[in-house]
Amino acid sequence: MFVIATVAAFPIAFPTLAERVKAVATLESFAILLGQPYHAETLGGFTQWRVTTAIALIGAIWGLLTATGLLRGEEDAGRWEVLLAGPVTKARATAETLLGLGGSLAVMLAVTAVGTLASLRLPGVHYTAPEAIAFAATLVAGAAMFAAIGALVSQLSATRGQAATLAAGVMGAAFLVRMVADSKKGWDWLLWLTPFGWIEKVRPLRDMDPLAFVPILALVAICVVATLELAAVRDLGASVLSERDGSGRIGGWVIGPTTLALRLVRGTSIAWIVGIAVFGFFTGTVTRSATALLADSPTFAQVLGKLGFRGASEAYLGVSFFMAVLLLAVMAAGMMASTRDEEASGRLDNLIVRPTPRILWLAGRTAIACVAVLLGGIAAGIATWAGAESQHVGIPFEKMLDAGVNATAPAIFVIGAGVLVLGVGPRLVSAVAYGIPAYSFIVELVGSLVKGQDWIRDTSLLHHVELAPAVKPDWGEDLALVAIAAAMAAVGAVAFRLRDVEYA
Amino acid sequence: MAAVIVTQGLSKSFGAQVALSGLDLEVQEGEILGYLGPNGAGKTTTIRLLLGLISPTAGSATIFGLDVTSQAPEVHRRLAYVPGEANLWPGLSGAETLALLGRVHGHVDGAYRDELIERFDFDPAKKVRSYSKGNRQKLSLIAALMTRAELLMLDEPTAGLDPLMEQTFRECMRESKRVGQTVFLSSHILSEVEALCDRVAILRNGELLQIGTLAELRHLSALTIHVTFAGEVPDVGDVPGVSAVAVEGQRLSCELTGPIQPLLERLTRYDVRELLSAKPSLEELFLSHYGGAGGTA
Repeated sequence: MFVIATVAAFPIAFPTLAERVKAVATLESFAILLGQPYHAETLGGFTQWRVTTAIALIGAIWGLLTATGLLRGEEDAGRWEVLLAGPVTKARATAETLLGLGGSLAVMLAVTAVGTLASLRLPGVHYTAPEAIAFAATLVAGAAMFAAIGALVSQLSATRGQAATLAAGVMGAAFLVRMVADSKKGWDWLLWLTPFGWIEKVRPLRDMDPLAFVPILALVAICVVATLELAAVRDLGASVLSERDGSGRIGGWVIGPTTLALRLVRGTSIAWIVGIAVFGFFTGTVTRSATALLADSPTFAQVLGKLGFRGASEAYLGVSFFMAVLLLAVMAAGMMASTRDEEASGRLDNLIVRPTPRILWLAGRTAIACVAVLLGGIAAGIATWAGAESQHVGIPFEKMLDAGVNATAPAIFVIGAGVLVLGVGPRLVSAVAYGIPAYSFIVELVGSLVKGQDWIRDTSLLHHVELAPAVKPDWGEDLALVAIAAAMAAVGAVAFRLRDVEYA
Repeated sequence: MAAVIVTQGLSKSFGAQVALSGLDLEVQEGEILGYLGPNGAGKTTTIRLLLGLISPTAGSATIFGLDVTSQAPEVHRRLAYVPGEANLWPGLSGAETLALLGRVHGHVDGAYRDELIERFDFDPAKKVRSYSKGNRQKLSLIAALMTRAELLMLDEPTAGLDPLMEQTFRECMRESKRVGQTVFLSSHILSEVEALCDRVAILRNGELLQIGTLAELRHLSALTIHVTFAGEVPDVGDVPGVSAVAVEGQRLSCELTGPIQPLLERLTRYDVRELLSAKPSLEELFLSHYGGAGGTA
């Protein structure tokens, strides 16, 4: 869809060659984020530049999470023990899991190829069917390579968490090397050192370099062989890397339900906050070039004008910040799901019977969730400001800070709704908490197409937060969301205190 | 002796399913009560009700004279609980878990805790996720015992422990009894209950079948009789008080309730080579209640 949308939008946004040549100069400033544009004045060149890195990154995250979950995660959960008690060897079980992963990737490749081949029918397309298929393969390459890396680190790590962290570290380093390689002309030889560089090097739609597929295939093959070898020789549950043990001294700072909650959500929260901040920083760094790109296209300028945004930079940042709003709401949903998991798993019993009043436990978890999303919002605002400031965009600090705080209101609402459901229907906490941002996102995407049905958009939580800094935050509306959240949380807390503990 | 736990008509239903029906029970101060029943009998439901984790659909329960639902925090301060499955935080180490649970409870005998760590041969430096089931159970046990609470609520506490550690657990229980702690021990390990408990309550399908000392329950139950014959094996199924007749080659086994004389009269007409009669073990006693209920799990 992304490919088709890009191909379809290109001639509309840049109808003349002059506009395209002019735009290419601006695209150079996106090089750090998306790679060096190569013949981006052509439809093929622009499409592969615009789509490849983003899809490769999303694919890489999917690949590493799926592979570590299926291999190390299942082993951690003890399900492999049951599996291996039957007539199945570890090597065979691993091979079959890898085969399943390969099958998923093949399906992904087929679906992507259908999309890229469909784009051949669009006006102005000059690339061929084999090139379109090669493009699909390039888009799936990120998922394939990092699934393979995830499989290998699953054999090395002591836990699923450690495996995912290690694979994510490899991914981060690989992406960083690609950023450095693309930051300066003459450093592009560095691209041969990183999986993201190989993906960029293929350039399937314009002067394809099939040689770049060689390291991609080699990496997948080496990881798969090493995974199978290690799986065959190591004991179930054993690992090359060991998990760090504590000192054995009785003590530490985890001394009550709230410090425990802090300890339990610390890693995930930091990861979310850093992720949102990094996203904000990059959004900020490309403000100037993005604004220039938008300003150079009269069609986009008209659209922005219709939306009533004040300045081009603010408009761009406001629209980009929509993603931060969504991420914060999803982060809040995750916090509520893990709160419910404490009860469902029976771990909460250990606290209640010692005795921790249920309300105190819930208040601690809720307060920490609120503080975490607030920190996430502030981090997003400051990081975006810092990114924009590095390009001398001139957005006031207070304005971005306000935007960051404004972005947390829907997340706080999700927390309130989560507490309410925890009280009255605990088994539905995950569905409702994740469902609210998911539903709102879908309504925002399709709602604008449905004319005269404003009530549909009104049901979207995201519709009730202003796109700051494009427009001023509506603190009244934000406060209303927080007040509703507080009321829901109060009802939920009372219900939680009175009801039975419910297990999974 | 005062009653520590008192339940009156305590009942719990989950929808149409009755998990516990009209439980009347008293546990006296300083006694170890064995709470026996197969899986699904309602043992864990009883413990959760007594801990105030779930509310009764009917009836009431008090611990130390305090209502278990409305005064749960006051009750909890004076008890320690070991769940059937040690659900602890995988990312914390054993030492961190003990520190946390000790601080939350508010009272810990530090010297006894260290002694327990030694006696259970427990390594507190490792992360909970790397412990075996047995080690997690040890951690739960140490966390409960180190509080020296007046009442110990133990839900199948030796699940996963090896025989050596089970022995250590039994020693700890005897010590607890010596210092006057009350123990509510839910179990389906009959030898454990036989070795430790002053009284036994037997539960099936949410209903309390019997409660009494081991001697009292033996009195109520059948004798087990095994007879080996040199020749023909007689049919004893029609003898008053005889049940569960099984013949294997020349060997006849049966259970007998009531006077033994009618059976002896029948047997002595035949060529008896060997006759063994035994008081039932707790296992047999248990089976006499659950024989038709799917075993003891």
